Order: sequence, then C-alpha cells, then structure tokens
Amino acid sequence: MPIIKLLSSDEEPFEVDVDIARMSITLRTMLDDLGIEEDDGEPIPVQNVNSSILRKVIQWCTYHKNDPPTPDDDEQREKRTDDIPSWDADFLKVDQGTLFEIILAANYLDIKGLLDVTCKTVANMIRGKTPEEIRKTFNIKNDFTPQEEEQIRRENEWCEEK
Amino acid sequence: MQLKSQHNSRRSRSQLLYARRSHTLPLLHHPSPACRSRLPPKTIKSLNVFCLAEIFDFLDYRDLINCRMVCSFWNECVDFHLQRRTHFAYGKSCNIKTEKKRSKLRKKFPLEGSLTLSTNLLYTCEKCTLVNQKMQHQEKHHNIYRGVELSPSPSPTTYSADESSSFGSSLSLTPISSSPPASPISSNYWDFEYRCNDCYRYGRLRQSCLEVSHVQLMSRIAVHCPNLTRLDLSNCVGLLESDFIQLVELYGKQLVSLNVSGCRIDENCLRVIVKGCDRLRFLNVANNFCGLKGGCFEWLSDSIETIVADYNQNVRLLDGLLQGKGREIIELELNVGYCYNAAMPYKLIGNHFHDLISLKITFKSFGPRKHGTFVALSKLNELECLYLLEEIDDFDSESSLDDDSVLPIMQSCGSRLRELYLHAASSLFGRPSSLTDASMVYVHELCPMLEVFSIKRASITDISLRSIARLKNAYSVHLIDLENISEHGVGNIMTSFKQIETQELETIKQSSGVDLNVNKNGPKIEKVKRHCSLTTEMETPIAC
Repeated sequence: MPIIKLLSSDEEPFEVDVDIARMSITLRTMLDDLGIEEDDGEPIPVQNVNSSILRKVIQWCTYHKNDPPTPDDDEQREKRTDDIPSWDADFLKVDQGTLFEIILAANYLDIKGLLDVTCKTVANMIRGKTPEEIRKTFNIKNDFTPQEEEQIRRENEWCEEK
Repeated sequence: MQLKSQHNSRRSRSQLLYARRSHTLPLLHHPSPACRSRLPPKTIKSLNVFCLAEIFDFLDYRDLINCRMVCSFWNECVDFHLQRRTHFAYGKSCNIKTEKKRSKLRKKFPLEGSLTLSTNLLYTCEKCTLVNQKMQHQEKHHNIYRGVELSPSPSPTTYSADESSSFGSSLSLTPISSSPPASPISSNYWDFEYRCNDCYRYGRLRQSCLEVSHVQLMSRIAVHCPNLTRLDLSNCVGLLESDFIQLVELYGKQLVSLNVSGCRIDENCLRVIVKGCDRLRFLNVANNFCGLKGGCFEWLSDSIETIVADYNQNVRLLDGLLQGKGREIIELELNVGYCYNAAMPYKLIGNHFHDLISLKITFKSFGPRKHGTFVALSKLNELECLYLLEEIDDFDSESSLDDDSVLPIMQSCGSRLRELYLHAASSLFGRPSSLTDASMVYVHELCPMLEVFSIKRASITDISLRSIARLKNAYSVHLIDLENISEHGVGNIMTSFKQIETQELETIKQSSGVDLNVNKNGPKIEKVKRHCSLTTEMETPIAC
C-alpha cells in the first residue's frame, strides 16, 4: 500500500495510506494536480490542523475508508440528523473545542462524510433550544441591542405557525 | 528545491480552496480560521460562515429562527444560509427546478451593487418572468403609470386567453428578484408585475418567499403611480410596519382597494391601515402570518364593504368585527381553518351580518362528519352569491357539507340566489359526501334565479341532474367529480341546454368522473375534463 506523509501544523509527521488521504478532496486534488509521488519522502504540510486533530481525522478516515461514496447531489438528499452511526457517535464524544476543531479540519480538508456527521452532532445540540439556551450551550455572548433583538423577533413572527 | 515545492503546493492549495468556495463567498467579514490564533480552545465562534451553514443545513426553520436570535454573526449567517436554501419550509416540497433556474439566472444577471432585491429569496416562476417581459414591453408603448387605476391585473385565465385585454383596473404588485432587468439603473426597476396566481395559490409555496426587502417600496410606487386607488401587495412578505405607515401617508385618502394577503400584517400594521385609509372599500388580509386576533377591526371605517380574511381558532376575526363597525359589510370572504366549534363562525355570520350579499367561505373539514354545520347561514336573506368551498387535508376526515345544511339555506335564501357553489371534498378513507339528492332535487324550485351553479364531489345522481337541467336562467353549470351520475343523466342535461355539438358529447360519454361546464348561450361546451381525484391537487404545486 503506497504511503504518504502529512505534516500537522505543529510539525508532527503522520504516515497515511494514499487511499485514506484521498478521502480528503483537498488532498486528492493536490495529489492529482501537483503530481506528488508517494515515495518522494516530502511531507505534505496540513496547515490549520494540529496533531491531535489530525490524528482524530485519520482515525475516522481509516474506519470509514470502505464507505460507499456519498451522493453529490445535495438537493436530493434528505436532511436527517438521527442517523449518526454508533461508532461515529462514540468517536465524537469529545469536548466542544475538539468537536469544532474537527469541523474546521473536515471543512478545510473537504471530507464530506466527516463534516456531515460532525455538523449533525452540533445541529442536534442546537435543535429545540431557545436562543438563550443556545448561547449558554456554546458560551456565546448576546451582542444585540434590545432594539435589534425586538426587530428580529418581529421579522420572525410571521412564520410562527398558528 | 524543497522549499520551492512546498511554497508551490501551499499556494496552489489556497487557490484550490478559493476556487472551490468562491461561488458561495458572502460579504461577511469574519476572520478565516487561518489568521486566528490557535492557542485558546476553539469554540463555536471559531466556525466560519461555511461551517455554520453546513450545520444550519440540518436544522428546520423553527430552529433557524432561534439561531438568528443568538447573536449578530449568527443572524447574518442564517440569512446567508437561507439564500442558499430556498425551500426550507415545512416539509417535503423541494422545488429543484426553481433552484436550478435561479442559479442559472444569477449567472446570467450577475448581482449589481444597486440591486438590493437580488439578495432576497423570492423568485418567480417561468410564467411570471414571461408576463414580466410582456409587461415591460407594454410599458414602453403605453404610459400606463399615469392613469387613475393603473396597470392590469389579469386573472390567469384572461392572461392566457387574451393578452391584449390585460389592461384592467388595478395595480398588482409582486416583487421580483430572480430576473433583474438588463439595466439596473432603470428607475423602473420595480417593474410592477402581474401577480402570477399559480405561484402563490398554495400556502406552502407562499411561505417560501421569505424576505422581500422593500427598500422604500412605497415611495418608489408613489413616484410612478401618484393616483393609485387600488393596490395589490399580496405576498410582499418583507413589508414592515414602517412601510404601511408610509403607504397610509401617501395613499391613505385615496385607496379604495387594498390587498395585503400573505404579508406579515400584525395588529399594529392593520390598525395603521384601517385608521389611515378611510375610503377603503375592499380589504384583503387573508394568509397573514401573524394571526390577527381581530381586535384591530374595531377601527374599520364605515366605508368598508368587502373583507377577505382568515378565521380559525386563533384568529377571531368575526368577534373583532362585531365589536367594531363591520356589520355594514356586504361581501365577506373567509378562509376558515380549525375551530373548536365548527359551526361557530357560521352562527356569528348568520346572527350578525344580515346585509351580506356575497359570501365566500373556503373551509377545512376536520374529523368525523358533523351535521348541519352551516344551518345558521340560512338567516342571511339578502344573499345573492354563496360559495361553500370545502378542503380536506388529511386522509380520514369527512366532508361536512351535507343536506342538513344546504336544504335550509336554499329554503330561506334560495329565491334571491344567483350564484351557488357547493364544492364538497372527500378524503381517501372518508365516506362519500352526504350532499345528496335529498336537497339537490329541489334546486330548481328553491333557487329559480340561479345563473351560475357549480357542484363538486357530491353524491347526487341523475335525479338531481334532472332538476339542475330545469334551471331556467343558468348560463354556466359545473358538474365536477360526480361519481354517481350516468351518461344518460349527462345526456339529459345536454339536451336541455341547447346548442351542444355532438362531438363533445361523445367525449363526455367516455369518462365517468365528469367535469362539465355547460354554457347555455355559448356555441359549445367550454370544458370537458376528466378528473382524477386528489392527483390534481398534488401535481400542481410542483409544476410551478
């Protein structure tokens, strides 16, 4: 199995199967476009992703390497959040900081499956909560003035189902 | 060498990333993850707008509303997200065609700085765009913005039938966004467009035109049409109270007819309108999303003659009208939703609105059959037009339009009735309608003046058809989805309404569920169509 080297932002090298690395669209495009050879020995720097997160990402990719490709057509796909596989659910039992770092990494590396499952996890954390509860969950500061808040509330009012 | 290659790859990657994202790049100034310090633990604030949009993708609209309220950045992000997601609404309806069309149009007409409208979610169907082009064309040749009653508002049928006759009497406005004109500088950007009824006939679709930014809509209209007396603002969801205040300032003394159905009208808005427009004779406030409680109707001026509105458990329109001056209303159009006591709205109408000449009720039936729901309407002795149009949404509710209701109404108001529509509905598992021969067989005796008669999905047989055939003054008869009538019965009607062409008669004989529109004075039958129950209703929204 051909192997390539990745270098995390804190300069820790990782050796990965090419097939696993190619699950990331970003890496795949790089490999294809730049014609990086497997045996170059030159590590590919993955900036923005530190070693602990890159390890998690590689772990996820390794587990999911045989998954069928997800359909590209976003419009057709039904948006469900209750279908997170149990392995993924366990895998994502991490603190919020790590979770968001994984999302950023998945977005940066463009790994659709990982991005989906992490975003579903966050969406589940948001669902059914009031704005105040959401702020509390994610430690967000309310930066609206009362007037602005009232304005948005009024804008939203119309869609409340009667 | 190594350095150079690394440099190369890094640049290419960023270019790749940019190329991948640039088509969705919003104008939001938020630090990209690259330039943020990594040291503090990441929070949800670290997520950029793309990641948030991915998350929002899995939330339904109600949750998104809550997200908007969280903080200003999220508010912007939800707005951005909603631009990408057109059909979020309450369920399955996903209009892919339209979405694709929109993106095509966007490519064709790149967004200009001045086109504030183009960031909105509203889009028009193909038909609208066509009509709009036509309109622009006419605009060049006729100076239509000068008259007292301005541009045309054709019904869909007149539009398709005869475009030259489209100069009507009122201004119908539906803002457009997906088809900005070639020159954005044009002061006529608003392109007062015909309303395409097909787009907005369905409540669900209507909710999808979320944000119609209005950017001084009123003053813009006023520049073009200072003498307006009729205004149709239906489905301009983005209008706010300030716009209505402006509307009243500009047109308050002259408006005769105002249609704000489908707008976000709350009680304050309505109070502004009804207090400010004292010559208003026609007011349409149906399908507003705020659930008008009705209390504001006490401000209605005496001049008001026609009201179109909703009535359901939450919207106690009639109660409000009764507290005020609504009793002089002669024309009432109600969309009745769920009411705990189904007969209540009709009792209120029957007891208090004695002057009604025309009553159109679109109602939804819920649950098992209720008898005599509409009996109270028999107190309306002045009625000349009565429309009872039933809708059933679910699978097992039963029609509540029955003989117990219809017979008393015909007995007491029949002598004046000129138009009568009895459209029952049926659900998949419900029993057939209980509107039967027991009442309809008297229709020619009780309602001798009937000119227009329409009946749908009733359980009537040929016996009633014989009675219908004896309506002396009828010039238009619609028999829609009647299961129990035979070819012979239809033939009977044919012979009594003269001048029927034999060819058409053949077609009718071949179909069992007949939608027949007989025109007594006309040369031939206007329309012969076979109806498959239910399917028509499900197909049409997608077609838009």
